[in-house]
Amino acid sequence: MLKRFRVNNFRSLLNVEFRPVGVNVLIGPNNAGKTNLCAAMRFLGLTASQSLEDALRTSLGETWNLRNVYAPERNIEIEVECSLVHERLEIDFDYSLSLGIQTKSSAYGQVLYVSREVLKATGGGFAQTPLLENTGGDVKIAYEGWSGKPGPHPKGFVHDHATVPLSSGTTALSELHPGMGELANLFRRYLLKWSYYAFSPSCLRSPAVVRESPVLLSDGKNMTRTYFSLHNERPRLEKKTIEIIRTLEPKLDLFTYTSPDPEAVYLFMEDQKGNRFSVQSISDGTLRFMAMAYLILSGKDSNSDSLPGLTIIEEPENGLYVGHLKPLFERLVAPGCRDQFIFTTHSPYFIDLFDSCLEGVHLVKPGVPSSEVRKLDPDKTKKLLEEMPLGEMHFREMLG
Amino acid sequence: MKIGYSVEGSTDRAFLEGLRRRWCPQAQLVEGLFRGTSGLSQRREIRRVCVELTAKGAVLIVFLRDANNESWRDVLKADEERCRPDHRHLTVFGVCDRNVECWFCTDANWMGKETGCPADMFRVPDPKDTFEKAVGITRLDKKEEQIATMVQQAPLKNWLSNRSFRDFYERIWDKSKERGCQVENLRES
Repeated sequence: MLKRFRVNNFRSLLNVEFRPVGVNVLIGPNNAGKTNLCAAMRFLGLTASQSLEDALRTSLGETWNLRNVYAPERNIEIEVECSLVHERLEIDFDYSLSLGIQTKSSAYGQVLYVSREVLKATGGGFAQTPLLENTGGDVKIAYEGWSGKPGPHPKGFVHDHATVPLSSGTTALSELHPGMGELANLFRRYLLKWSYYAFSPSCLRSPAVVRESPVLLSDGKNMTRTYFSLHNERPRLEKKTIEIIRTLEPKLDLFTYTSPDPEAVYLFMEDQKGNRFSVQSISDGTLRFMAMAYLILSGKDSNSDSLPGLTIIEEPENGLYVGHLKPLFERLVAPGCRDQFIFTTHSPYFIDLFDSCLEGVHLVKPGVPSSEVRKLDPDKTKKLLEEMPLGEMHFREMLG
Repeated sequence: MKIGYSVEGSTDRAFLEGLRRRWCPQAQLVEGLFRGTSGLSQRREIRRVCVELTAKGAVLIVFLRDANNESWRDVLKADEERCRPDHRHLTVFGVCDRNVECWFCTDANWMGKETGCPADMFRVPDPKDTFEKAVGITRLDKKEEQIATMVQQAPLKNWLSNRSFRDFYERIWDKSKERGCQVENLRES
């Protein structure tokens, strides 16, 4: 579980710290920095599997405007503190990444390189033990061993180190092989589970299959394939997903699919009389709801020994009747949901849903030189909740 | 000192800004928001606006709205009844007979001089459109600064002949006594 995310000198974010809980919402006016914070998290998640340049292009869509323009600092810094379970032991991880910036040419944009990267572990016999250190491409990786294994309380220790050279355009974490340090690999797999979504109805409707990836893509592409996979591989989960979508589309009986070639999957909603409705005739809001239902339920349904996910969803309220947000939200906060969710929103109705988990509300305030991320004052907010809903307080600019 | 307010539109907002500059220049105006655009919505949310503005530190809350085609006294009474007893000592309600433009046009001669238009054109039962044309209010430019300056310099004692303005002024006067502020005595000036 992510406990702390700090980002420095990344777009509007200068030394901004974000401490999420299970379910979180980022609220603030337009251009406050909500999406920049999400982009920083998305970028970091992507660096665990991609080059820095690819991660930048995917998360920001450009290689310009990376630094905070008001800051004297040159490097972009990102820090993560999280807690993960390994062999029934809770291990705290501290990961820090410092990225230098070079401007190659006006046409090419800016190029990032790893200036310093450190991963440390605490717990299970480790105490701020470096598992991975990367200084400008000189990488030192620790190989850990476990004493007392199998047993209830195995103790970890570092028994060997390897030093490997690395290109500065990638993180050492992204270059780890399964045999190189169990814990570092665990942390890497955790970062790989970070996902970001800003759905576009045209992408959600697209029948085109992204062959190399069986998962829902950040803009909503591949949804028809994702549902087709559910249908074929996880019918129980498909049934649950249909149940929740029925709160919005009571006529829905089942999903049917046609896949005339390996490049496309066409999805249809079918009612009890056998009438079929293609995704082209399903409303934008229903499609978004389907995508979110899949994300929320598939996370909850995953194996108990797998890593928790971290899912960022931008403006889930778009196109949806406000009453339909609550059934989804109730599944997020249900017992057994180990995944973390981070939403951005402008909807007072969506914000209202956080009145029982105020610690998940994060205010993002615009400012120069930096945006600011703050939590609510719980005592003051609880008192005001007797007078009006949380979303109303947001509308009236009373939060924070 | 923060003075909270809730108004229906930009001319009302500019009117209050003019009064602030004239009577209480050290005060800061803080607008209370309400969902919707009508006086009915404004009335529905009187309680929440009071909660909002007290939370933001307002020591006085002014509600100003138009009576439109209703009796301004009835509107005023209904608005006041909506206010919670524990907020009443903080609030001042003002209701313009028809609209705030009627208050400006109470002194048609002054309006004529200010706008360079014949005074007679302001002597109509509902001068809203005439006022907006004369001042040059458009969708893109609500002339809030100009209207506030007009209020700052207006011969307000002449406006007292309008009963709804007089009622509003007297409420402000009483409240200023409670707060120990200096509001100009229009009745004796």
